[in-house]
Amino acid sequence: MRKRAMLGGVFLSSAAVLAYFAYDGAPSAQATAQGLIEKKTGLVEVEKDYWPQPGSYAVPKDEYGHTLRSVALEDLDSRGILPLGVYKGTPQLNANRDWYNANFYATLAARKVWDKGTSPAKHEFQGPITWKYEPIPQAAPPACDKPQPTGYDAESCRYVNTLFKDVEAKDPAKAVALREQVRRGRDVWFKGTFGNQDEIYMHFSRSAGGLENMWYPWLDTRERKNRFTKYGLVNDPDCTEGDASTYWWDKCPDPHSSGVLGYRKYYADPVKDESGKVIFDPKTSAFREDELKKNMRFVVGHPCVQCHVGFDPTRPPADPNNPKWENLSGTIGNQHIVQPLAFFQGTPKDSPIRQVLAAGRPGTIDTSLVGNDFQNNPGTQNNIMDFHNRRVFKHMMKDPITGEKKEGLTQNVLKGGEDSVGDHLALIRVYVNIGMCTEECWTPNFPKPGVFFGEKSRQKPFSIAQCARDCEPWNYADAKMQDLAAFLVTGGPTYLMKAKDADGKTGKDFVELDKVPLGRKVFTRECASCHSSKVAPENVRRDKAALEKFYEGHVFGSEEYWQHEFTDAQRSAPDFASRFLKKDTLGRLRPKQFVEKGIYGQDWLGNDEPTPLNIIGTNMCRALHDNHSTGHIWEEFSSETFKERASPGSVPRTLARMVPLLGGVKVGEKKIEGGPGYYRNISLLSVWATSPFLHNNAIGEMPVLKDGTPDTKVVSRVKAFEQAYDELMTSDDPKSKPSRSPKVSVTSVDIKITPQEDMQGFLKIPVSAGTPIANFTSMNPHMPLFMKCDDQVENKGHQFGVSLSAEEKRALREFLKLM
Amino acid sequence: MVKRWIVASVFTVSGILGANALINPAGPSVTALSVAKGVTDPDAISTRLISSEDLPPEGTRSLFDHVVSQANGVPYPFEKLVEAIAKLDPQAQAPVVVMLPQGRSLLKAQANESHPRIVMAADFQSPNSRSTLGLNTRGQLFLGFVENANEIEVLSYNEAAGRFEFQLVQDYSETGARKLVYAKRQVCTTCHQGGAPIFSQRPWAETNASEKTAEAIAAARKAAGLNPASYLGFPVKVGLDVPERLDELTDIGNFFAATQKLWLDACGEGDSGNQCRRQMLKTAVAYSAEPGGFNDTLPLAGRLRQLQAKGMGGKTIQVPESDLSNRDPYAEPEGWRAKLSHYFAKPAHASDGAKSNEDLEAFDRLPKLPSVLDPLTLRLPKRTLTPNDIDGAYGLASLLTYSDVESLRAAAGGDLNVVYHAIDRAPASLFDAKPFVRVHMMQSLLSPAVLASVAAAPRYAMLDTSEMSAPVSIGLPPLALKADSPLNDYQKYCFSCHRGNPQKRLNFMAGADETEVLALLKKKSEVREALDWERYQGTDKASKLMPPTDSAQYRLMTSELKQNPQLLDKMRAVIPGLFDF
Repeated sequence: MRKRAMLGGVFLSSAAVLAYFAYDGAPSAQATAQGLIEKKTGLVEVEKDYWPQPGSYAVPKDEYGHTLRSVALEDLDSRGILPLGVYKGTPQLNANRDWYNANFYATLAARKVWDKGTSPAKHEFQGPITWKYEPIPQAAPPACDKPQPTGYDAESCRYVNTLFKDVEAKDPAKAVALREQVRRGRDVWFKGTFGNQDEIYMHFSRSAGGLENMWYPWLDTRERKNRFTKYGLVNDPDCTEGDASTYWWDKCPDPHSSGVLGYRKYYADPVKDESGKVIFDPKTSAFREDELKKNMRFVVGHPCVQCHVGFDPTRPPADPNNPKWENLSGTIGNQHIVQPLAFFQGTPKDSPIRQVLAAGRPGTIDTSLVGNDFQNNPGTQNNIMDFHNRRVFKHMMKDPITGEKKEGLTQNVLKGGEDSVGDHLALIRVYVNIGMCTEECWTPNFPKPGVFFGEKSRQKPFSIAQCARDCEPWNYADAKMQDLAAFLVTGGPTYLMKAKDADGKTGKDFVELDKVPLGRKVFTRECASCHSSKVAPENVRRDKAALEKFYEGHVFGSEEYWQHEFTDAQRSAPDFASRFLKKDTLGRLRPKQFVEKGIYGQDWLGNDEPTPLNIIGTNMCRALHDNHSTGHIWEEFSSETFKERASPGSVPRTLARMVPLLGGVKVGEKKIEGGPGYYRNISLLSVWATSPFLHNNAIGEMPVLKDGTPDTKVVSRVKAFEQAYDELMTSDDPKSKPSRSPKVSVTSVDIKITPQEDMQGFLKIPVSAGTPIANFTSMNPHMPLFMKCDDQVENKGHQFGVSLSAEEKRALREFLKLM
Repeated sequence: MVKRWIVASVFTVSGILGANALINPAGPSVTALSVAKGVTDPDAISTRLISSEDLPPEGTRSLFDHVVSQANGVPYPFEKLVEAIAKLDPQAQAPVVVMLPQGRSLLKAQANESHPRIVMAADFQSPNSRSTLGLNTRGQLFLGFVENANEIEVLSYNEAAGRFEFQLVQDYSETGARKLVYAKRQVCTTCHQGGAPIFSQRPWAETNASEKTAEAIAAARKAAGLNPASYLGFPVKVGLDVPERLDELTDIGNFFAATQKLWLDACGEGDSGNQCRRQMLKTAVAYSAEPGGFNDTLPLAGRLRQLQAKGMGGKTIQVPESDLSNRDPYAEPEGWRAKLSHYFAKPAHASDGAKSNEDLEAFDRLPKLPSVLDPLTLRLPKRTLTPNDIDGAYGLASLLTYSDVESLRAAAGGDLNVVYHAIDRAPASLFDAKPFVRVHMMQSLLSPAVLASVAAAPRYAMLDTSEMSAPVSIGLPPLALKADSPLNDYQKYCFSCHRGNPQKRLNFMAGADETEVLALLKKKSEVREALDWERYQGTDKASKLMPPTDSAQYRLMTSELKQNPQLLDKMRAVIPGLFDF
């Protein structure tokens, strides 16, 4: 309340700006079969001359360094991999599906329209909903056989034109339709924000010390040349440094590009004085020195690529602050940013939230932080590669709308296997997690800060049905998840062998190919029981000798490089060809797995199965994440099977470390129940490009140049991979020689915290510099006697293979470079 | 302010003291469990057909019995026993060995840092030749040795009975009786709940793969003036790969036990059960022949599922959990917090405790482990299998050796269909509801009657019990000898090798009482010769003299002879000479 004056000023009124668009046909009051659901009609009108530079960008035809997959959802359906989940949409969505589809681009973003007499300033945490939503319409891009209005769109066309060439040869119209769907999905990935810009100003500001701390210094166009160096942010290649004429924002052909990929700008609401007179109109008012700090001109929403866009490891940019589209990958993940610190760059250095977020390693984000699981657990962004080869599992699921329980398919999406209700809900949940419908559907279910007893001291489950009813952007997003999935399944691996550095060195220069066959053998014995989607029978997986037999002749990497996985002697053995090779329709002798299954024969290099945390031995706090348990916030996003997972055992019960004198004393054991306690195995596809390792990026270090710029060159990635690999293959036992140096994130300055998650309240507890962050972030302030999770060392565990000989370790390393 | 903290701390400590017992429950009593009714399905065929008696079914013996029988008794010292096992491996690889100074076994109180418990597992498969079947020890032979207790616990597979046998070598010392007995199965299965091997999970902190544990062993041995780098010839520090392999081998063994349940219970009895077992074996062969290329959706597997559905009815089959939670006996942090934590944590050891496997009450008097760490705590099944699971076939594939499948393929001219036909042609009795016996199955399939290309069925040395002495149960009272018994000297110098030896021809001092033993001994006229040192020393027959010159008994006897030169004559006099008429 006390620091929300600015918030109120910015959001005082929004009605005036709505004048620039109107529906083709106003929403009618025509009732649907459900009775209460408004039937939507017409098209949302998009501003004329939406594109400042229509037709300026030709579609490039250059080949990609990373792999794209011509996989259509219908292919997956025919293979029994789809549909995932049992959710069939909300009543609101199903009643108006045609309208949402027809207004696809018009509903990628939205804004709140406050009821008369209400405003963000007057809205209290968990208060009533006093607003409605309106779309912020965007124009659909032209078809890909035409020049494009932005470089982004030209790149989209380059991307989709690479796909479905086999389909095109037989059915050109079908290929166009498939490509258009992928393109729509890609646009959702890059542009869909669905009203999430308000989370920053309304909810984040609660724990940031007030709205005045919520601004983005890196948006100033004069920072463009340093954005990657200082913040790990990826500049929009279409944009250039702006000037006074652009209010010191970047100059971009896309009206909603902020100049930084993953951050979409929308006009802020006009600022009015007490009499209601507009004193600052974002569309017309002259530049004010304080407008950026006060978010007066634009507010910023954030689509998926805020975390997921990164540099294509095979085509690093000459200047990472000034990349080109061909240097980027939308699916590998930004491995150089500490998210969501970007939102809190306006806070003081000793702000607790800033200290906590800064402790996350580059390429990680604690997605459970806002959701209040009270366990410090930053995790990496998932690489999105070859999802068509990721395993699917049968789970018992509850339809969140009908309540019906039935069997459905799912992948184990999150790091503990949460979001186990199919891709659709897994994808849309992320939008909620990044700010969509926060005030309507999310925060009302959070515990109330400062409450120790009763219902208000605990999370409540998020309700999908309620959200679709009370927050229209849910339905905007929900209608697009199929297209988004269609895009995501086209993401493939990045192979070092295809990499080219700016100095002309190729990836091949960095692999000792003669060591690969031994590495492959080691992999079969030591790694494949978890890191292969070719899954051995359960009893075989517990026997290295049997595993080596099981994987005989199997190609783990790309078909293109399969010969390197075997020695000449192996390949020329009398029965090798008869057992493991097969002639294709063109008479070529190829590995059987690819002849028979095509790209579906490619190993995903992970079995996606959950493994108990004590077996993995890595920092346990992510595995203990319990937001998906019964009664918790994401209850509807985990299957019944997940919730009934066997207990993986117990962990020590530890007195809260912030308790003077006694903090840290272990008092018995705490049984893990209800689903948590596992890490699902990861894919090792492109592992050469994605170090540091582990779920928290704690093994290895991101390479940096002397000026602090993250080093994205191929040679540096390979060196970073090798360094991380060496650390991974070293004992974590401090008494061992050598051993990993324990990594514990600590506060960098003295700070003051309060025993509330919003850092408000009167009691200020001093925390001196050097205090482990987990000491105060892994305890539930509503149950403060014990640690919720007590595990400080971040780079421990995963002791598989540490006893291998130096020769075996090196061979395994070289083998992995080929994956 | 300070006062407030003190009050808060006192309150907290009181709360902890009160709550500790509730939140840190201890495990159950072994004495109670050892007489408790089992949880095995009483109606299951496997319950009926796989013996739960202490002694092995007649005509069958444990793998360990066969191994030591071939070695003419349990070799001593332990290094020689391990060497005897290693010699069976064509590759002569050392068995897998770890040390546990602070373990959880019945004899845990007797092991310590200077003399830790040794756990050993064999890990090899010998290849077949045209005329013989190779030995499979992988997951089938485990030893646990506590030197301070003079006892070896043995867990080894009984091929012919389809179960693991629990045995003890008692009084295993230089001059001890080294009595090989079958243990009380119900006591063993309180922890070995699947009737099979068990082991800790990662990171195996109890073992000497943990730096702390290895360091503690080395320090204690150094302090005791012992070799800090090795114990009984084994390194005091090993890599994580060693307990990892041991963990794997126990899991492999555990699944053998489950496989027998699947073989019997998943298929059922009668014609359908017989057909089901044939199908399971065919599926196992198909898998073994090309593990990576095996497609579990093929008709072969589909048919097995159908037959299992019939055999199982609505039932499921549980695979017991063989993994124990990791326990780190040295986990407490250093400093004053450690002292406080230590106050709440009960010590793992006390000076008393079971000194043998028969001393359950003493074991129960030891401080209890928390139930989550206590192997006595009933564990949930590792898996629950339905008719749709064809893991029985994978289990059979694991019971067969790689060489077995090659032998079958070779005999079938490389055509697996010929093997399948052979399985169809094999005698029905092989597929009746009785335990799967790899050797019998292979000998039957590789016989001229079934596969025409075979000249004769291969032999196998480790199944024949005709030359073995009768198995002995634990708990038989020791032989009571009168003070002036003529057997007293024999007890001292000969019983270690000739009483309780699984090799029948060497077990000639067995017998329930003095009269019986004496009668048996009197029939062994060659003993007279073996004790005739005066006559044979320095001749080409010197090697037949007893006790063997490299034994402790020989050294004892030599020493005694200096005091009592008539000793040998006295002993020889017990046995009638050729001319005693």
